[in-house]
Amino acid sequence: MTEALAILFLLAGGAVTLIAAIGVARLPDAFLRMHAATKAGVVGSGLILIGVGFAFNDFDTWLRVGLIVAFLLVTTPVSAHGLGLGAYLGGAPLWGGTTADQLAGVLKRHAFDETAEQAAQRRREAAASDAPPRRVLVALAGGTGAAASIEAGLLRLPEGPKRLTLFALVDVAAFAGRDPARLAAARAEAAQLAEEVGRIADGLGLPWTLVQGEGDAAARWREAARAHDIAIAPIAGWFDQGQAEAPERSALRFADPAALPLLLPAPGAEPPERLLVLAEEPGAAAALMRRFLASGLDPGAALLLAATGRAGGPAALAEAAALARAAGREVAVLPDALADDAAPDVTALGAEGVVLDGSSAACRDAAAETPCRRVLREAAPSVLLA
Amino acid sequence: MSGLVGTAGALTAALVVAAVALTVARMLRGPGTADRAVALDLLGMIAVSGCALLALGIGNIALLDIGLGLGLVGFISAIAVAGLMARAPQREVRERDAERVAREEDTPR
Repeated sequence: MTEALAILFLLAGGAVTLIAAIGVARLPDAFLRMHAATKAGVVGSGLILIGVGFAFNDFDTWLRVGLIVAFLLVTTPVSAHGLGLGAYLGGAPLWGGTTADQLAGVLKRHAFDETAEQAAQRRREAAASDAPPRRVLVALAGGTGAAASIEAGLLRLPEGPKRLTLFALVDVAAFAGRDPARLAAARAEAAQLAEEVGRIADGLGLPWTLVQGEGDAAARWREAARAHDIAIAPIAGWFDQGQAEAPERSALRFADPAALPLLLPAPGAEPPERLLVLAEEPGAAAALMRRFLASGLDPGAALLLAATGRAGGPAALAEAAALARAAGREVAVLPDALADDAAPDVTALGAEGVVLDGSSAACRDAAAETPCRRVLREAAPSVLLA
Repeated sequence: MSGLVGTAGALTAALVVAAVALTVARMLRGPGTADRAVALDLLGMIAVSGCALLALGIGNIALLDIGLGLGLVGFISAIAVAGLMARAPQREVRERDAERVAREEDTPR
């Protein structure tokens, strides 16, 4: 009986050990190999040891077999965890078919160990290619009509490689206490808009990924904005697809966390030929111009600089104008100061869009009756918050 | 010890040798430190079962004690290698080497 058991355990252990080795030899990345080596490996060794225990079948052997098996069972999970962590931190590449890397952004990975030749190759490639692609966050908000607005925004993006994130959210909180049919309609609209914008992006040759979700739209928008360089949102639309809120509040909600350049394009507009750059705070004009130039948006547009009376009038714009000229932009300075409490008449000034200082108190203060807040509320021509 | 158990032991030893061959192949091929470390870890575990099979073959259970020691060494070495990998790799050294390679490529022979 014990002989039969010994034979059974020995052969089973040998087979499992061989399977573990096949896994280590054939699986595609270090993490999968680790899983084969440690799980199947400990079972294989354990079975062989038990087989040997049955073959001798005396106390001395069983004592040692029990000790070794217990020791293996205790240490293997530890070494498996350690090896996995070390491989991850060491930057071992993940298999291409990996669908989720839940440690991305949680643990910092080093570069995978590469040879000097590979490092030289990587540096050559890095030097040859341009800056990393601009990460563009596109708000799929405002329903089907918003596609034209988003397309107008995409046409204004700077040259060079770009990567779009199409952000489709349904702000469930906005539908609290409303007809459930409206929420259903918003979901359908969001899906249709995603399809439409995906087609537009394909037509422009821009690579894109779609992120879908429901929940606290404002918080998730803020979170997504942190991982992108430019955001585009339809000027009159929020993540309720026009089903819950008055459109004039929407631009304000997008603008509130203006941590990155936010483009609110008017639907169907051509890329603007002339932009009004409006400074509302004393001394902030140059910083606004610097951020606008860094965003790279509307590379072909001429600039018309203006300042409100509070910002110090045209005299405060000299440095900003010099910056724009140094960047090779066509610049004019509006000779008169604009009103402190009214939206500028952008069209009358000959411009097709307006650039506002999204970080200024004039834009952030919800109660302020400043040009920035008024422009956002009235959803006037294309707005860029830099 | 009957002949049947001895035969089974020899068969198992053959399977284990095949496993060692595959694991060593992975260890030689890499391609990275992590892959080699994983192969080393498995090799340690296979060595423990190898000791057990040897004990069976020569009929001396003292070899099991050696297996216990080998298991301990394998565990500690796996942890040590994992710690090495987790620490910052010597990126600067590699960058310097990369610059050297680039210089050599630029220099006409």
